[in-house]
Amino acid sequence: MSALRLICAGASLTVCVLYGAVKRSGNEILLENVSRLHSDIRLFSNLLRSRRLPLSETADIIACEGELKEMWASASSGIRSGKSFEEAYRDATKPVLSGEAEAVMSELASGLGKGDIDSELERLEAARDALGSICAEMRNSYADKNRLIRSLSMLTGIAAALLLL
Amino acid sequence: MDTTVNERLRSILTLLPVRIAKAVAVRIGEAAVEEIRLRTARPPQIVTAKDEVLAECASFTADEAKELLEKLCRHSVYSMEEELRQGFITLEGGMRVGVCGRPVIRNGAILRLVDVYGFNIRFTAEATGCAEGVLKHISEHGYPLSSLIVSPPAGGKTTLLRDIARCISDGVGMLPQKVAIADERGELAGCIGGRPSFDIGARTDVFDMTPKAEAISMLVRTMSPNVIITDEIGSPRDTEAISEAARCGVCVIASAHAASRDDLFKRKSLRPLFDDGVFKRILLLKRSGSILRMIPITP
Repeated sequence: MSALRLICAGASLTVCVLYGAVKRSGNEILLENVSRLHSDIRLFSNLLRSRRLPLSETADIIACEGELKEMWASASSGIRSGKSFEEAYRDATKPVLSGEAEAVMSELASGLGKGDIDSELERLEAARDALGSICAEMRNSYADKNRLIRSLSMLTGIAAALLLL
Repeated sequence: MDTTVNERLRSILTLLPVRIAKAVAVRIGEAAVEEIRLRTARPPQIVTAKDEVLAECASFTADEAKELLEKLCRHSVYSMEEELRQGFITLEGGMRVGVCGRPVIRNGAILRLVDVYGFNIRFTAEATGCAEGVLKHISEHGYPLSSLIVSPPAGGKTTLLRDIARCISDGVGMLPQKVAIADERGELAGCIGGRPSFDIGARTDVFDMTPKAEAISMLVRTMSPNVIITDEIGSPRDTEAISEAARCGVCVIASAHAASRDDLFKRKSLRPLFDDGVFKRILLLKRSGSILRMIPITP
């Protein structure tokens, strides 16, 4: 009987620690995706400034040279089929993003392709800055959050193990 | 109407508001649609080879104008700024959409067009063989002569020039020649990714979407053409480039707007070409419905 209790206590400790690790890696994925999006928006802005290609062709280049390849490739094929960037982005295969980053991208997508080059560049710069700030904020808060998650998951695991014992 | 024009027309219809597309579709069966004119707050106008009508549907709205502009620009308005500044958008297949609206002016020049209120969607026709009757007027001993084709707007100049390019390039009715087209608005050859949308001949090079004067100078320098063909000349820079090409021994076949001989010779910007005797032949096109008449004018 005591052996069974010991096994259950060990298992509960492991589950809590694993849960904490999964939660932490989820945060890291979110941060990585926003960071990659930030880098792609910078590439987008540079391409528009230097080449002024239509959005579909610009998205094709980012699909080759950028980070979120799948998203840009599906956005490009959407534009080629006659959709606006807003519709193409909405239907594109997107990575998991934080709510704030998603809001920045939706705002960017809603206006892209409708104005002159100066307003497009302004829009891209604004999105890049916003994503940069979100990234920095996420990095800071995730460091604290991750420490907290690690401690809490460990403590919960230990408490559960002690109760079972 | 030939299949290609029909296809182009149908591809345009998918971009138009549904009620306007329906009104145009009704006319397709009746006659060859040549133009669709859309003006904000007014009903669409449909021009065919036979006549023109104001479509019986609600007026074209400002929001529809904005949406149509985005669609015509493939949802990338910024990439068409230069063309919009000049008042047109060239679509795949050489179709040209004229636009008018409110520009931003800086230092007396149009910087960009910010609001577009009106569209003139022109359907480019390919009339293979239409130039064969003209060749005797613009050639001598089997070689083409520098010639000017003159007509009012929408008189068929571009269609004729395109077929002249094909005939000279392929040696129809004369010895085949190396032809170069300076296609500023992409209307003559309708190139998509370097592939012409029309039959312009096997020995024809195209320099498109470049101002005529620059394109002509570059073609003379780099492609050693026997004949240069260009559309709608009119600026002093065009005149200078054509004179220079002619002095280099290149035959130039061009078109210009004018309704009569008097109007043509009153155009000051073209005057140096007549004074220098650049054009050996001048043909005035007179159009009545779908019938084209050609009247030779003495330079």
